[in-house]
Amino acid sequence: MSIIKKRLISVINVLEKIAVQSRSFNDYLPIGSSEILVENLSRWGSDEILIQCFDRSKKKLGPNINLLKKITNFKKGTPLIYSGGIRNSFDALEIIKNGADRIMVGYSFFQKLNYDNLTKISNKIGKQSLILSLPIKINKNNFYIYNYVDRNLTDIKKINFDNLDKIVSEILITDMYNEGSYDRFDTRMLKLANIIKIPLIFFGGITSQHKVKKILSHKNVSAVGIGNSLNFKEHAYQSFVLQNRNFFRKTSYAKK
Amino acid sequence: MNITILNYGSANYISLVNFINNFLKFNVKVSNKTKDIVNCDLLILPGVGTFEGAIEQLKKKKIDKVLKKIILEGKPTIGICLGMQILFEFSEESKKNIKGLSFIKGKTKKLDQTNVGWRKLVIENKSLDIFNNSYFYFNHSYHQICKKKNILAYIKINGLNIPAIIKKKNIIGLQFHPENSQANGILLFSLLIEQLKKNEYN
Repeated sequence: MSIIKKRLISVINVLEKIAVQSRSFNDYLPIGSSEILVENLSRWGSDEILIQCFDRSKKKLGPNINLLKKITNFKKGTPLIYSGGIRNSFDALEIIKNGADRIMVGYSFFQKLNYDNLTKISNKIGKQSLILSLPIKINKNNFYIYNYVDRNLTDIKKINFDNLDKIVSEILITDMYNEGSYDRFDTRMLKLANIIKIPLIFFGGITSQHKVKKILSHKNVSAVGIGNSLNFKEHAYQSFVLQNRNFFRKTSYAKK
Repeated sequence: MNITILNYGSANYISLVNFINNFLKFNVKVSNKTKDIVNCDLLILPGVGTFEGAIEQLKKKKIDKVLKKIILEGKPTIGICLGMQILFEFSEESKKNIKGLSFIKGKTKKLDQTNVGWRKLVIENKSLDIFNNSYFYFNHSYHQICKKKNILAYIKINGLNIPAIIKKKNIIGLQFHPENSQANGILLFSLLIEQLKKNEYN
C-alpha cells in the first residue's frame, strides 16, 4: 500500500528581504539570506519549504515577487509554498508563474471573512495549490483568529469550514502565543483537528519529538511546520526526520 | 535536445525551466509559438490550475489544433499533473463539460480528498523497476481513469489504484511533479526522456 507519510515543512519567516527568527511575530532577530536557507533546506531533503513574508499585508504591499524569483533559483527540486501580501487571484497567479508551487493566504481572507475572494483564487490556481493560514490565540479555552494587522480577534465559530472545504486543500494553524518559543506549542490547539475536517498543518513552537508525535498522531493532521529549530545546526532537518522516522519519509541525506 | 514548455497561461514555468536547466542540461524555452512547438524535440505540457481554464486558454491561443496535429504525428510529449489530465477526453472538474485534447481514452475524476505530499510509486513496467517504492511529490485533486495497458505506475489511495505514470505511444503523462520530487524526479524524468527518444514501448 502506498502510505502517505506526514510532511515536515520548513518555515522561513522573512521580514523585508531578510530571513528572521521571530517570537510571536513581534520580536525579530536576523538570521540572514533567505536564498541560502532555501538552498540548505532543499539540499537536506525538505518535504516542502514555506516562505512567510509576514510584513507584506501590514505594509499594504502585494506579494514579494522579486524575492520569490531569487529564491526559486535555489529551491533545487523542492516544493515551495509562498505566503505574504496575496490580495487576489491575479497575485496568486503571478506567484505561481514566478516559481511557487502552492500559496498560502491569510489576511485577505480573515480580515473580513472574504470567501468570495478566496474562491476566485481557488478557481484560478486549483484547490490543491491553496492553503489557508489561520493564526490562532486561545482565550479561556475558546479559539480566536488573531488578525495581526488590525490587531483584533474573531471567534473561530464564525468560520464556515464546510464552505472552506470546497476552496482550500489545507489549513495552517499558527500558535501565535508560542511562535518562536522552544517547544511551547499549546496542545489544546489539537482540539481544532476534531472540529475541522480539512487537513491541518500546525506551526509555532514545535520542537521536541514528543510534541511532534502528539501532533502527527492525529489522523486529520497532514504536516507540521518547523521554523527556527531547523536553522541553527548543520543537517538539522535530517536529525528531525530520524527522530520522528515513523511519521516522515526518509530524506536523501538521512543516515540509516 | 531542444525542449519546449508550452505556455498556456497557468503554470509554474520557472520551476520546470530551472529543473531542466540545472539538472538535465537541455535547451529549454517557454513558448506558445507554432514554430517552437513544431520544431522542438520534446514538448512538455505543464499545469497548475484547472482543467477548464487550461483548455480554454489553449483554444483562445489557438494552440489546441496545432497540438492535435503534431502530437498525433508523433511528437514526443510529456504532460505533468494538469498537463497530463488535459490529454484525456473529459474531466469531472469541468462544469461546462469541456472536452480535453482526447489523445488518450479515459477521463478525469475527483478524488475524495486532495492528494498532497510524498507517495511511493508501485511500478507496473519493468524498465522503471528501480523506482518501485520510491517517493514522488503529488499535488492534485483529480485522478485519471484509463485502460490498464496505458498505466506504467500507480499509487494506492484508500484502496484505489491511481495512475501515476501513463503512456500511449509518444505521449507520457505524469500525475506527480518530477520537478519537485528532488533526486527521484531528476532520475526518472531523465530515464523517460531517454526512452521517448529511443521510442521504447512501441
